[in-house]
Amino acid sequence: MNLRKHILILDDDLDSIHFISKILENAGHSVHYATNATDFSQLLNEIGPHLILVDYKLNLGTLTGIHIIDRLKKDEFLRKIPIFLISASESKKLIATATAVGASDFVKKPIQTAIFLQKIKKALKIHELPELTLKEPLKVKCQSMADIIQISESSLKIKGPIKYSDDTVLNIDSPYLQNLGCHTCKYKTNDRNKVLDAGIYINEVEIKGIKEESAKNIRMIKTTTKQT
Amino acid sequence: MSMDPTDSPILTLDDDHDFNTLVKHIFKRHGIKVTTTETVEEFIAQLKETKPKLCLIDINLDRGFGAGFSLLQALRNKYGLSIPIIMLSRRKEDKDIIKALELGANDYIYKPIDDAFLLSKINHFLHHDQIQPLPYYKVSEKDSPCKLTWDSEIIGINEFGLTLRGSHFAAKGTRLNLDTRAHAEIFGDYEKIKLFVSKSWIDSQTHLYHAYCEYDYENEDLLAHIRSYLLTHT
Repeated sequence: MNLRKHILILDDDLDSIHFISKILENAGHSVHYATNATDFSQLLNEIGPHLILVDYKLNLGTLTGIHIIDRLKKDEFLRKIPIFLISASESKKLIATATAVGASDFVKKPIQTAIFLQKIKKALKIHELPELTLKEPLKVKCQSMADIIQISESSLKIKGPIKYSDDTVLNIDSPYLQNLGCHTCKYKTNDRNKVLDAGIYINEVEIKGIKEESAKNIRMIKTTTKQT
Repeated sequence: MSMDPTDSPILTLDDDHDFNTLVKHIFKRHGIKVTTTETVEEFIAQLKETKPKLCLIDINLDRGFGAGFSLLQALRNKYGLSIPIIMLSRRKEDKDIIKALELGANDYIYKPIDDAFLLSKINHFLHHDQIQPLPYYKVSEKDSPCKLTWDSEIIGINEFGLTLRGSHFAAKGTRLNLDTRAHAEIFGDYEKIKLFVSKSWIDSQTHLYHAYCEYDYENEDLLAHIRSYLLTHT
């Protein structure tokens, strides 16, 4: 799916941030960054990033990138986001600690673009957010454009991309029907619908509660079309 | 006495004797049997006896302004939606028509009666072949665009799209708008979101249609909202 991924960087070194941003943006990703903990938390909530990059060395007192990863990975929800640790050192101990607290991968500075992007791609693929299945379906109103192609005093023929089942209550927003004085009317589909072409249907819709004037207005329409 | 219930498919209630005569005359010409009554008591007695397929009831009965509404309500309470009921009225006020429909009337027919209109309306329930449907007129291209709104439900959400379920089939490629005002926790402050149907299928067990709809990927703010929601709910 061709969707831009959002990547959040936490680093206190702006040069490094800009360097990494360039690489990621060139690869089509959307990059956000923070140089302190407050901005970082705020961005986390606002953008719900697909991936987080944390530098080991941070200007946060005794806190290092390891502590940040540890905290995020202990969060019930945020733990689902993959996190990479970035560091100039590649000591075995550091990599082991990063892995132990839950970092998805480790990136050594200076960054080697091809390998870096490969790792990002892999992590994004593995860590897609799962689908939320709703136990209680959410009631919603759907809307689509359609065309009223024919009208009688008791029904309409409407052409559109949806095939409605029998007895569906439809709300029709149409200046044309409004002008005919049909504002009291309710609309309900009947079982006579047909396929016009692939993905194009003609639904017959019953007009309920039409007034005498409106029926007259409809009768006034001169060009009778043949029954179809 | 055993009476074929189909013998008299239509039962009417109107305190206007001349109207009853006219209705009988119109239906007789098309071979449709009708029982006319002039009081609520008579109507109730005939309702039990003839088991009509359709009732026509005048909104204004002489026992009071809008007595037909009370009867409609009582019938709906007692029999539910099993008997189709069409209300008749000379009153032209919008609120009467809307009230009739909201109380559960299947339709409304204005007086004075237009033969073809009446027959077409009742035929929606009786399905007689010999009754001609009302003629259709062509709507010009400039008048035809309209917006349709209907009820549906969301059964699944992921970061790329959502799954709608209902009894309607939406073709692949259909553009939909979803009214999301009631679900700000998921979609933020967007009143409407744009969707694009990328897959449609029918569930073999429930026979309900499903449509997987992708979000508008240009709307990054909306996507971020949905991701944040998913992060905390999956």
